[in-house]
Amino acid sequence: MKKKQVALVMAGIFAMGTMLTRAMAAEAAESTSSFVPDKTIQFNVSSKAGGNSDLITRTITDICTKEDLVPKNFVVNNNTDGGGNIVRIETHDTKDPDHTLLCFSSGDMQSMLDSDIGLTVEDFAPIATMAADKQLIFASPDGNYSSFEDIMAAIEAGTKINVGGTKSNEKVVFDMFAEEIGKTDMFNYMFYESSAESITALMGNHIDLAMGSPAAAISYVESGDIIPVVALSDERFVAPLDGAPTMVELGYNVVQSPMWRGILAPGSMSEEAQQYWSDVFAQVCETEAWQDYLNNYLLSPYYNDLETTRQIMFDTEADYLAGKE
Amino acid sequence: METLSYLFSGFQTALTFQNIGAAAFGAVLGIIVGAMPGIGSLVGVALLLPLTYAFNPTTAIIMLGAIYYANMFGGAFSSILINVPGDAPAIMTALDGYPLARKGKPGKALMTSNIASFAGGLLGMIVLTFFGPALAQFGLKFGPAEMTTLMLVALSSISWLIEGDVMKGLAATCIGILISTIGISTNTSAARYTFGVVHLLSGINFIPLVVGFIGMAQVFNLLGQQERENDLVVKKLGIKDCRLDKEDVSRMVEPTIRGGLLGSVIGFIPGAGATMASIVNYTIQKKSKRNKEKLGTGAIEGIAASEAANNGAAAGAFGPLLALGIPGSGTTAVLLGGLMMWGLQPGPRLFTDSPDFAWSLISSLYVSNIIALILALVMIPFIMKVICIPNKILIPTITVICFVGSYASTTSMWGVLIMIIGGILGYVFQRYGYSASPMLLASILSVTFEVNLRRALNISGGSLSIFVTKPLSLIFLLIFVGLLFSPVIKKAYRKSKAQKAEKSA
Repeated sequence: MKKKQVALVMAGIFAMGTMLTRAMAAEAAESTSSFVPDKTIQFNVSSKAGGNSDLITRTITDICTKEDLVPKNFVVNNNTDGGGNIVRIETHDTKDPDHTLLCFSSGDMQSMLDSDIGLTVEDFAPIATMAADKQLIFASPDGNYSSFEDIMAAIEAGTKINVGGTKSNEKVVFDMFAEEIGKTDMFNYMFYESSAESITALMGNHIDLAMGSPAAAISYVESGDIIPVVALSDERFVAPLDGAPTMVELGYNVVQSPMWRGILAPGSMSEEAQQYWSDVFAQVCETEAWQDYLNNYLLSPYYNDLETTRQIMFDTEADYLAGKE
Repeated sequence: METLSYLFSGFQTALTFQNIGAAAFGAVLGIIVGAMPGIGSLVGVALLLPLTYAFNPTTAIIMLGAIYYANMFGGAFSSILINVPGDAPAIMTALDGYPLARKGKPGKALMTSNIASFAGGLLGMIVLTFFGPALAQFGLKFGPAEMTTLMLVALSSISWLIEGDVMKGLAATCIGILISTIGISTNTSAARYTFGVVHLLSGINFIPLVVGFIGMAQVFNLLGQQERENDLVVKKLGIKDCRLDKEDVSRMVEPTIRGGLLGSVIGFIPGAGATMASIVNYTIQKKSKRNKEKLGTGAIEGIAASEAANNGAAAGAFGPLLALGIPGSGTTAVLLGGLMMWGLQPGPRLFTDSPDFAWSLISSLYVSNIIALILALVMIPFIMKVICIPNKILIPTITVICFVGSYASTTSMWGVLIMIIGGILGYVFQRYGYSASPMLLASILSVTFEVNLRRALNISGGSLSIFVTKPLSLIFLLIFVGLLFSPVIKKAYRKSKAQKAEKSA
């Protein structure tokens, strides 16, 4: 009897204790207004330094440092290994989820889903979308084709055309283009590691056309080294990319696949940290430096909060997987 | 003339007290980081990038340039003293530097390396200053076809490096080529020889492989030897032992000048870089008939050839970066990131839009070259004493350096694992008379070869004619054929000469 009583009392004390500590823990979380980073933050990027993902990451981290939005420093980790998959796995498996971020675009998502690493967006915590951008097709001024009409004429004459671009979004939107004009078998799409590499190849006239975003190509268009041929968007881009007509102007349906650029965190990141980072990036998007960045690279502003970002990323993923089947 | 006036105005910016200080500080850090195996210039620049935040853009860039440049000096130190190449370009330096150091002349080896680095780099900078934009345009001409045939030439020149048994040398080369095929193929995205291991998707990381194959294998080798027989009994090493006499200097002249010029041109080719430059110049030097000693046994010519070329290329790599905005190497890619953080838009318009900046960067290269030389010269008398460290201390030290270096270059234990396996393989190679350098070089070169070969064939629709219709590619192809048949032709020529002599007699 006594033993039972003691056991009961003990159980009661344990229960009380657990409840108390839980309550205290909850209070602590509230009172410190959640999470503040106390270590260096690793920002993973799956493109080379100078690539598009790298540019946006450096801009974001630079703004965070200059405006004192984050008390700790960022280390930007560029790693193109395994088609960018290593850095995604690293992000997913990190031991410090609250201090790890990954620059992630819809193109990255496609290459992740195409690989056999078995990760999907659901394995991560989507934090924010930051900007969106679209692509153009470029040609070389001293190459064989300088307009859409030239390309079509060559195809009608039975010439195969060599196109360079990255594995990710650029390939997807180029396939859409080839399908729209009904000539999928007349193009020879070659993979390059980065837009910088394919544009270099175009400048040397080693390929006929290169895919590229305004950000990667604008300085070469300004200097006259490459020319925009087709705008894969519903409206023309601003100068100096305004020479390229849209597919609608050319008499086809609109061809575009806006690529969002955003930030993912490891799936194990705490709720507090997710909210913290979402807030930080909202502040980043309100700075002048961010506006300058968007203007410089002809990107559209596209910040979304946690809930909307999740929706956008999951929807893009579902669409892509449906399209694959 | 216009170039000169730009350069001088650049010097005016670079030579302020603050900027010289930043360059000197960068050079010290660069040498130290460069001397640590596995860290090398790429990781070094990336690590030290945040330090430059404290300065104004021009000073920051000058400091970055100095860090990058001084790294190339530091890389040779560990190659020569402990036979652990700090980074890929220093592999060739170790081939002669370490044997010379073991002969009791570490000072001479370090001195040769630093003077050749300085002179090669200086030549590279002069080329960059006067022909930068033109050569950057020339670099663009290297498309898939040209790169493929250039790699054919480079791969076949590996045969010159093979010592002893030719079959064993070829076997080592083939193993190198096989290793390079592991991982996701750039051209097709297919995973090859990965056996479901995710880490293998990215292939075998090169730096840990080198550190293991050369450094760790050496540890195993030292362990197998008797303590006394291997300890170097060197009297006292003094400053006198660092001096190069007239003969040494005259031996350096040819490889250094060729290295500087060749290196800077190779630096301009996107995707080539310092490693390629030192390989090419070293193999050419090996063929030269004017070598006083056989290369690979501690010849001054070999050290000079490797170091002059990789520093020339380090300067040349700034050409495509500044003139076109194309990073020529991994390290210049990180520099590019640094430039952009300062709101500069590297690209075809950099020279026209911000000439102040571009020229002060170029002139700061000259300044940091001199500062790095002075610092290195001051350090040599102290640092060369490493060679006198007895094995019982040296072995654990090199082991630690190998572990730290392979971890630092990959930031994962995977790199350490590659290093250990590489070390075991490297030891087996040594025991059975297979040389390591053909294997390592083949694994670097064949990646570039394969990617470009497949791209070229893709462009031509499978036709091999692409390699002969492009003039540059045809030239390399002819060189390649010439290399292949030169022994046969030489033999036939000698025979016919002998026959003629017989007839006339």
